[in-house]
Amino acid sequence: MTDATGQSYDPYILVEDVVKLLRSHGLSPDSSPGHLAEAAAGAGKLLRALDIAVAQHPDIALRRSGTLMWGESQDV
Amino acid sequence: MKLLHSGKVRDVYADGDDIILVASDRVSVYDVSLPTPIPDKGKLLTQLSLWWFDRLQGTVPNHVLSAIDVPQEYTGRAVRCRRLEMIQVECIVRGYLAGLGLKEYERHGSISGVALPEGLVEGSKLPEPVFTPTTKASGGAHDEFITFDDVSAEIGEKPANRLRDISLELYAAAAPIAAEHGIIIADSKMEFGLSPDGVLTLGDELFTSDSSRFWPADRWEPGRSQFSFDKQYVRDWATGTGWDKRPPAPTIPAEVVGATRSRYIEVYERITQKTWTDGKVQ
Repeated sequence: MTDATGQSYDPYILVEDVVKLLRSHGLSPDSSPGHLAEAAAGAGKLLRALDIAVAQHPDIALRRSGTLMWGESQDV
Repeated sequence: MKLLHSGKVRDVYADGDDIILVASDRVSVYDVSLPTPIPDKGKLLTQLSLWWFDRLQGTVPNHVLSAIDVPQEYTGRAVRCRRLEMIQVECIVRGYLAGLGLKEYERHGSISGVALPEGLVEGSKLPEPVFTPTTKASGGAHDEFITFDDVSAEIGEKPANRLRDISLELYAAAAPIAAEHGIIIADSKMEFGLSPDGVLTLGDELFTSDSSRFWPADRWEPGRSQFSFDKQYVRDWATGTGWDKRPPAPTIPAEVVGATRSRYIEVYERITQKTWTDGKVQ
């Protein structure tokens, strides 16, 4: 979803970036399981508001490919 | 051809601008690769996926370029694909209640924010197929259910609507085809991306035993764990050994390998109505 300017960023990476940033400011953000969906939604919204398209870098997408199967995610 | 990534079940190569996906015979349970392969599993799943891609290509373009123009040693188990910029939403459609969807329903009475009727049990047929997306984190985080509103916020309302509509459309097209041959597609995961020219494109694999739950219709009985045409047999065996679910995993006995392979073959043959003989499509 690269926009017309060719700028894109991964919202999940942005969430990680923000967690690090907040920690560097002495805060303790809660990034435990259960917060990711809402955080990703917020990150995507922020990126799009700044005219940065949301996208997963192809290399990251490929690393995921074949790593975890659907049935396997049900093992967890 | 350059190896980009070797996953638990699939290897990914780059060949110029294209990607070559090579499905292995490896099987993993509880996130651990088992030392014993299931012969032909990679070919069976690749051929089934190709069959679905071909059958459903009218619904949405897919990433398949060729199943023939691949290295000879991977014939049958490899697909040359377009390189897509992937959309970070796992698009899951559920027609029945199982797995993590069941757990989520038992906790909240809903899945991905979709309210479901009270009183459903494991294996229940849902009033209608529902779109229950999950996150698709870049790192090692487990995927989490995400509401449709959050998907809209993340990627935009229009793309979110398209993902939901196409996912449901694909499921609605595939489920009756499988049902004709006595197979229930309980649920399925789809992945989409954008091609270099910006077209929404179906990627990954489609309606295979690794991306879907297949149940034999004649053994379907809500209220209990369903007989499944996937690695459930291996999973049950592994659990029965008392293995602690940490590497190294135990070697799979020949009879379990044989029974698992038979299930993969059966689902391939029933859905495609083709015969599988010694790893070759007849």
